[in-house]
Amino acid sequence: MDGFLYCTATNSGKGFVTHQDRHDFYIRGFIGDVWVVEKNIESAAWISRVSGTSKTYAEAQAIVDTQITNLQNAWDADNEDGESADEKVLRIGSKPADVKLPFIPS
Amino acid sequence: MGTITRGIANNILGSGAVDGTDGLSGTVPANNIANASLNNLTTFPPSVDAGIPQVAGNPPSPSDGDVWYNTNTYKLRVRGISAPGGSWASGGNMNRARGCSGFGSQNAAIAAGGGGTPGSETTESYNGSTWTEVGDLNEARNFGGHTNGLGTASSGMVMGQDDPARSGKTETWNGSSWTEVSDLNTVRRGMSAFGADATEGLCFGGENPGTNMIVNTESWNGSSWTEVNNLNAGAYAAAGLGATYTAGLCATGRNLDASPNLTSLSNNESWNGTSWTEVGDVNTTRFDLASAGSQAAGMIMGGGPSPIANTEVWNGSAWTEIGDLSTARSSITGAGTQSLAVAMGGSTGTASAATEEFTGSADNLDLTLS
Repeated sequence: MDGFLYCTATNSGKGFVTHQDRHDFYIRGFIGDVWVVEKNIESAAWISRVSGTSKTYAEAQAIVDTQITNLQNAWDADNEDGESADEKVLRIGSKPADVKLPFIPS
Repeated sequence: MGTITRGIANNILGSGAVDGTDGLSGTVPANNIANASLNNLTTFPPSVDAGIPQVAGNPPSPSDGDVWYNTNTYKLRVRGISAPGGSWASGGNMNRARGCSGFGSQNAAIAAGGGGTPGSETTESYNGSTWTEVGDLNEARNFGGHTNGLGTASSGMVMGQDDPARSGKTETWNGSSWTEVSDLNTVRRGMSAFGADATEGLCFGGENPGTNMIVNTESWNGSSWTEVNNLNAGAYAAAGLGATYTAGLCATGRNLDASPNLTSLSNNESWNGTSWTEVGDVNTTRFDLASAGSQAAGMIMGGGPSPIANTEVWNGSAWTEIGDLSTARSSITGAGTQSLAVAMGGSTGTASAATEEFTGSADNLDLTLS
């Protein structure tokens, strides 16, 4: 693998990611409409096909970080009197964890 | 007219076999160049011409076993089954992004309720490409993914899960509208279910404040719920897989008694119509996951607490990891079979409307030659 390409793209539904795409390259979607694809000819064509906006790794990671930080802050601020930590998790779910995008150092 | 170097191409017989009687070196005798048999070599016998065609991408409709050279990627490709088979592709987006209850098949599915506290009555119907809003639930529910509904797009049901108070309310779906029917005996949320349709189902697990892990199992006969044998271990927001209420699985879930960790489980129990038996654990612990298939051929995908994309298939005795979802999601729900599944909704951290379709049929696979 020659590393990854990063972009933002809106999932348009049917045909956005096809079975053929899944065989042609690794692809994974993240919060903030960030998509990470294996770097090859066909993934580059996919970014064009879905009208994606190419990002650097740092730019894509920053988008994800901002989204996760906002969720973590909202989780921290959502409390009820007398509620235990476990009760809070049961009520609103676990605190969103940091997400690190796939990256291969050059 | 010149000379033509003798080679394999001009020594291929009509049958496709190579004529080795006069060797493969030197040149073709001049008196043969103009004869009909040599001229005919401009069109190879079909057995040779159809050998490995060059295609920029993929042929429009390859058949199983077809081989071609992809001039876009410079890779040899074959049409075949990728073991253990299949991949996820995008389906139509739901109209409302949310974790919800789901059941049905890949091209005829229902997504009901969900959308956080206090939940909604929203019901959507999927035809394999588009989601359409249909008749609302009578009772808003905060269904948050996993398998808390059962049946088909023309005969299904959901149960329990009101918020803030837990409930045992049950509704059946007839393809166009919901009808309130008899309540569960044990109120709960985070329960799981499986069954063929609105005339037979099984509901198990979940939680209720003060009791935490519920092990109770209830059987639905089309008109009422009856207590049957309990799970061996309680499971909150586990996967329920089963094409009939007499055979199915309760896989993974969350252990709410494991304070302070509320750990995710890898447990897997099998129901034989009478009792639960522990069978092979899943590879990746999780809860709030989607599922599809049956006791003999099942599938689980996604889940939490942090969203994951992992997909595993069950062959009746063990789980095997296969290709991931495109988008990792918790609070996701699913429907269909192991070879034709659909996963919809959930959360990437924010509510998702995404639908993904799993197809276990033939795909175009790159060959690696060594």
